[in-house]
Amino acid sequence: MDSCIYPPAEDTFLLIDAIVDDRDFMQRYFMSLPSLFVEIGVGSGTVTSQVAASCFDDHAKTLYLGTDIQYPALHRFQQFVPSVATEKQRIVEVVQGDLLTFLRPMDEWVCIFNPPYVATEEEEYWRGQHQRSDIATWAGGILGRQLVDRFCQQLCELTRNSRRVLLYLLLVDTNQPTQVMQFLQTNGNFCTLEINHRRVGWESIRVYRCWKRSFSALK
Amino acid sequence: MRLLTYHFLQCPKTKTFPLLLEPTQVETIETEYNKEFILRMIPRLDWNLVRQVSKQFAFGELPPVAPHNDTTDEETLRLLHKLLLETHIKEGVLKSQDGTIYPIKDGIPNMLITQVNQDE
Repeated sequence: MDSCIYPPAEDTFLLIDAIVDDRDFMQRYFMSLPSLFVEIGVGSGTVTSQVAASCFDDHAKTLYLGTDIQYPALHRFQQFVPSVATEKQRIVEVVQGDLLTFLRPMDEWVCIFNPPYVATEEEEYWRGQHQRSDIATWAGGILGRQLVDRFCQQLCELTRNSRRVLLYLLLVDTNQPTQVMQFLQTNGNFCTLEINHRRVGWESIRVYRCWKRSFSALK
Repeated sequence: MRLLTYHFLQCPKTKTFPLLLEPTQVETIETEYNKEFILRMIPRLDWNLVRQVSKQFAFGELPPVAPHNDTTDEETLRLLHKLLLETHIKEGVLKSQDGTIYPIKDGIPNMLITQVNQDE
């Protein structure tokens, strides 16, 4: 059952570091710390738990919503939540869903996504999505971008009338991140900035901060 | 699923909100009261729906207007804490206007449309 949960790896920790180091920006952007975090593809729950525990250690006023397409991942995460939640009074909730499709449009929230970014045959990508098997945790289809592109479309649509939305997105160079960022800038009115980078073997992993342009004066 | 989370969900198929909540098993789990958390969540909620849910779960009548940040109405905030944070739906369903049913299994709502649509 546990085989379909993506284990924490180098990319997981790069993403956590980037978010934790970006706390000052969040504080300025939201003029307080954000009250809602939504992590897409919560998997083992490492990112959400670490962000809740270290980024907002002194701050128990945020709701964390973890979502995944896979029930076993969520079920396991939910069992593990009480230890994070009760010690530090964190409110962590889980929802099984397909990216952002089930979220009602809203403002003032942070989205985190470490997508399946490995470039694969299209067929393999669809197999993962249909069977909701472990393949779905890494198989990204053409350029490793198929789910990323769907996600970006959904995000732009969902936040069309939002003023403050912040996204932390992890991509690798194979995904051609410049194209993804351009899409978010053009279709979602997002500003984008690379905030963390690491080379792992032959792949470059990058973390991007994307935020609604209404507050573009912020660096 | 806490009742708080219910307020963030829409039907993924029809994009309508709110869904109709029909619980079959409800659990109350004590959670430490955090006034600031509640105050920060209130602006995120549809107050009419909160009032409706309060009645549905026999928590009684809530004021017609949502409490503000400087409220002194501690009673309402405590009630909201009990309703939104301590009330968990263990089993049940969420129903959309078009009849689609999203089950809640062991506290986890399943908001997947069963068929993955390749055209989307």
